[in-house]
Amino acid sequence: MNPGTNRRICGKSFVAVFALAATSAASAAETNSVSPASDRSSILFDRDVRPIFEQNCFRCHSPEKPKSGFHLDNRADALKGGDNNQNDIVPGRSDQSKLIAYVAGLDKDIRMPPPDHGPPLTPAQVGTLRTWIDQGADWGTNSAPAPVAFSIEPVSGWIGVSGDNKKFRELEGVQEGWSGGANHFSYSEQIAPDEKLTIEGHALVPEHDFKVTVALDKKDSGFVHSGFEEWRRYYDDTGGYYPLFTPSSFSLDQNPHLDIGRAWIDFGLTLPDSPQLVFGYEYQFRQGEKSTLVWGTVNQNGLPKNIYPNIENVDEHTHIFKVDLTREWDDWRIEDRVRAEFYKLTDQRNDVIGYSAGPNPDLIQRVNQGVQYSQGANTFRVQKQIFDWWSASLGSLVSVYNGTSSFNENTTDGSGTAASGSAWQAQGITLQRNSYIVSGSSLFLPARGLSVSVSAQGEWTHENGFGNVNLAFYDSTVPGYTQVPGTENANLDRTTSSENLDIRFNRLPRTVLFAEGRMRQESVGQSSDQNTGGVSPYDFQQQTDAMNYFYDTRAGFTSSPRPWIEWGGHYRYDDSNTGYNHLVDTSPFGGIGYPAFITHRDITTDEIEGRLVLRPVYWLNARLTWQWVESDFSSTTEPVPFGISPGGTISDGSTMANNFGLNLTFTPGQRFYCSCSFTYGYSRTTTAADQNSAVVPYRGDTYTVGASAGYALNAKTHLDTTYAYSQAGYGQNNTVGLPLGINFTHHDLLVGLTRQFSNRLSGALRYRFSQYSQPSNDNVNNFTANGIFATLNYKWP
Amino acid sequence: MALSVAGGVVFFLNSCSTMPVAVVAPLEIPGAHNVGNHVCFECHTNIVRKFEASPHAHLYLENAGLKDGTGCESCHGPGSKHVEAGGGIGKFIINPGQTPEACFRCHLATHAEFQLPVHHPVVEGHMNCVQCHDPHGEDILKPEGGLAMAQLNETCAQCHREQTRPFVFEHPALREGCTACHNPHGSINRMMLNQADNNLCFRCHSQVQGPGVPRGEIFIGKSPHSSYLQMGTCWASGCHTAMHGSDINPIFLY
Repeated sequence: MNPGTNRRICGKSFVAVFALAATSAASAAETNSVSPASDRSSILFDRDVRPIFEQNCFRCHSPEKPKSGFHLDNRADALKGGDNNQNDIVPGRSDQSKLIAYVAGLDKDIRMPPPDHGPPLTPAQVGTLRTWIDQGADWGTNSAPAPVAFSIEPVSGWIGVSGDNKKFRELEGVQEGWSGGANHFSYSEQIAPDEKLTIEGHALVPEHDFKVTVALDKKDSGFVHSGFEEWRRYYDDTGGYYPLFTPSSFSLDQNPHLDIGRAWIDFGLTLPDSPQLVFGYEYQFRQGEKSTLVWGTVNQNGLPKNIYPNIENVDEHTHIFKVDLTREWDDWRIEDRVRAEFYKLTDQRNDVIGYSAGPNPDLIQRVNQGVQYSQGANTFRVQKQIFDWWSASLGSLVSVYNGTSSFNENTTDGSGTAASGSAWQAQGITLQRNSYIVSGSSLFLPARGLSVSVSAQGEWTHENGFGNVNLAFYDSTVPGYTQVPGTENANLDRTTSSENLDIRFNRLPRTVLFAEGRMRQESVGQSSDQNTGGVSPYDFQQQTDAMNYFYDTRAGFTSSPRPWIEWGGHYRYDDSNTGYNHLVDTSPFGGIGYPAFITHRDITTDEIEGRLVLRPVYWLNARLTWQWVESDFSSTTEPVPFGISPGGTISDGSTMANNFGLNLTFTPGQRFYCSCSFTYGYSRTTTAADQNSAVVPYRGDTYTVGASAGYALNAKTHLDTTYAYSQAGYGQNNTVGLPLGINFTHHDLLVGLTRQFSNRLSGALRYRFSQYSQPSNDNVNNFTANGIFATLNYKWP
Repeated sequence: MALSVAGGVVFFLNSCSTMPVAVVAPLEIPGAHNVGNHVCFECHTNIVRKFEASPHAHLYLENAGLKDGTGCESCHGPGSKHVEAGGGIGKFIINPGQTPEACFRCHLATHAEFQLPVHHPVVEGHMNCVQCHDPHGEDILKPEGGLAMAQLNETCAQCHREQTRPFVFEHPALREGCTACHNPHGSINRMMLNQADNNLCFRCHSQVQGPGVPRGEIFIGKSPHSSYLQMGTCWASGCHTAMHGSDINPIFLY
């Protein structure tokens, strides 16, 4: 409520004070039939009555969760009364209206607002309500359907790019050249006092960035919500980089992009005192091409390096049907969700396994894969507030997955002619997974300021996959084609139990202490085999039991000794310890070690986080954060004969990261706003393989800056600017292997001027600058972009 | 598209006229003041009840007098006008489920990750924090709804069905979760990998090299790998391309 409104109300109410003070005093004793002595002609709902409701009543008697079923947000519902009365408001008869009795303290049993929910209404406010009811309890503008409202924000712009336009598209998510559409549009219509239609969305081309939602809501009845959205993800088509090659990197000269989207419709029933039911359908899709990291082999000067780029064609469709039931009453809440999902994926990619002089690759393995599955799932949860100090919930999940997959591979030369190479095939591989989960949790508040949360979950999952394969050599059209038919079979049974404990204590002055522990025990029984009768070198049979123990502990505090300072932090330690018992591990060729090779794994992580928030003056907020985290990995493996490995335990490696963050926000006045964030991070990963010159430590720094500011030149004109900067220095000087770490610098700047032409129309002009440089791959991905955009915004009324 | 009004200033997420940077702004709703969690409890009873068990409750300092509050309103903005309006979705209240600015005010490092070249499209408005995190629940690393605790990789499986489906031959690394190899917010590396090189794999696939291993060679399992490692990454063409699992090869060649 703005001060102006307050002043108007105070002024108006003052007139009624004397009348009502006298009236109240008299009526409190014996009667509620005393007519208010106020100026009847001057009571208006929006001006005089609504503010009283907003301050004192809507908190409990709004459509969200009306206490006693009594709504005060529209006249029709208010006149129906609540669960206990039908005469809460009797137009023209304030003396018969229970509402007046309640707010004036005339009812011995019920007072509104309740004593613990706020102070009683002033005599002036009671008088205003009485006068309003006696006038007929008119609802003013609120009683009639609101007028139609709509808004639209058309935009048009142009971006010019010099340099790698595909990297620009990948990083910025837009194409160069002309673009336009509607940044935002909305339409709403109050069809009836309790029915509303809302349509909103945006449509931008050529980005394929569309969204429209249509919502039709009828209070205490139901809703129909539907929509469609689609957006495009661009990919750079440059592969890897090797400085000693000419060229040092390759581009496919394509414009890979995925169109990602969904369409949905939900039908909801929201009848009072009944379960809320939602029936829905959703369709999700991903179509197009994306870059992969499966880079092909380029041969130059006798050196093979995997840097040739690759693109995967993806065609994925998912249909989801759902039924959600939610019921709340008293201290109970029940949820049941049913999902049926139908999925189909086909993807194809060309793995270059030989490229020398070009222009086409010498040898390509063409891989086609397909997956189809149906999955049904049901989750159920019941919550109950048992006592004020104890709430509990129980839940379950049942999920059944049935699917098939296929795999086809053939080898061709660069022109597509069949060539010598592998031609693996698998049709109709069966995949199944059944999961059953139960969980229970309790929240205890045993003493003031102390909360204890305990939960446990059990999960049983069975997976199996089986089918026939043909690990053929050569294409069937190539001399030497050899079929290698075989079978494969895999079963996995997993039993997992998890336990959580969280304790929070806030009785210390202005301080919260917390400690939490999470534990998980997971037992996996796994068997798998592939059998081609000894023809394939990958024939194997394995049976492994694995047991994992995981625990994660964290303790910390938050404190605010003064309103202008808050600080806190925590220490965390987790450990994941897995033992593998390989009961069966056979291979006709002696195997290659894996998959049954590791006998023990241990991962430990230490983490410390701290933060300091200062607000020394009202216009400045400063936040400083720091995080240090280190993980250590170790393994124990089986011995390998011939002196290859004695087996035993090895420290695989460690990762360490140190991250600092600072945010400053200035809000010195209504006209100026500025926020600036800076982060710095250092991380490194070293592994036992770093002794090999082909693998070097991975380490470097990352800097980011995000700043934004706004300044109101006057009541109608506003300047805003946003700047983002990021830089990383993970470049590697590695020519024995590949230099895979990157160095880059990225600037993004947006400056805009917004002008309010009238109450309904405003416009903005924006300039955008973007620059990216990546010296770690010889700057082939560098770009500089400039853009200018104009937008209008019209809203009605 | 225009998203929010904060401090009387209109901010933007990505569109063709803006850029993929979310602006961290004070959560101000003109004319509104803080009312406290007990008022929110009147309507949002279940959420406030379970909030006590949420890691976010570790920050909740009752009666500390902080201007921005540390309860519901520290993320949703001051609630007095929302209460006066009788509640309702989006009525004088900030919904962090729609826009990430409220989350970024505290999670500076996460905000920075979303500024890196490869990130999930949250600041672009195609995703939101609540799709992966339940800010009120006991387990913040899971989507809202569902059970008390998350199923492993459940969050990622909502969209990445191709990678989280059952395989005939599974990669046990997935038992440690997708985050063993990927940073879900953003990364400088393609596919949001934690490391861009083979160090990523050697965190698990190292072994004591025996006296029979020639100098400069490195064995993984029973196979010499030095020449492969010199060519590039483990997941390159012709090698272990099916890192999430395979239906045809136990060492994930395809």
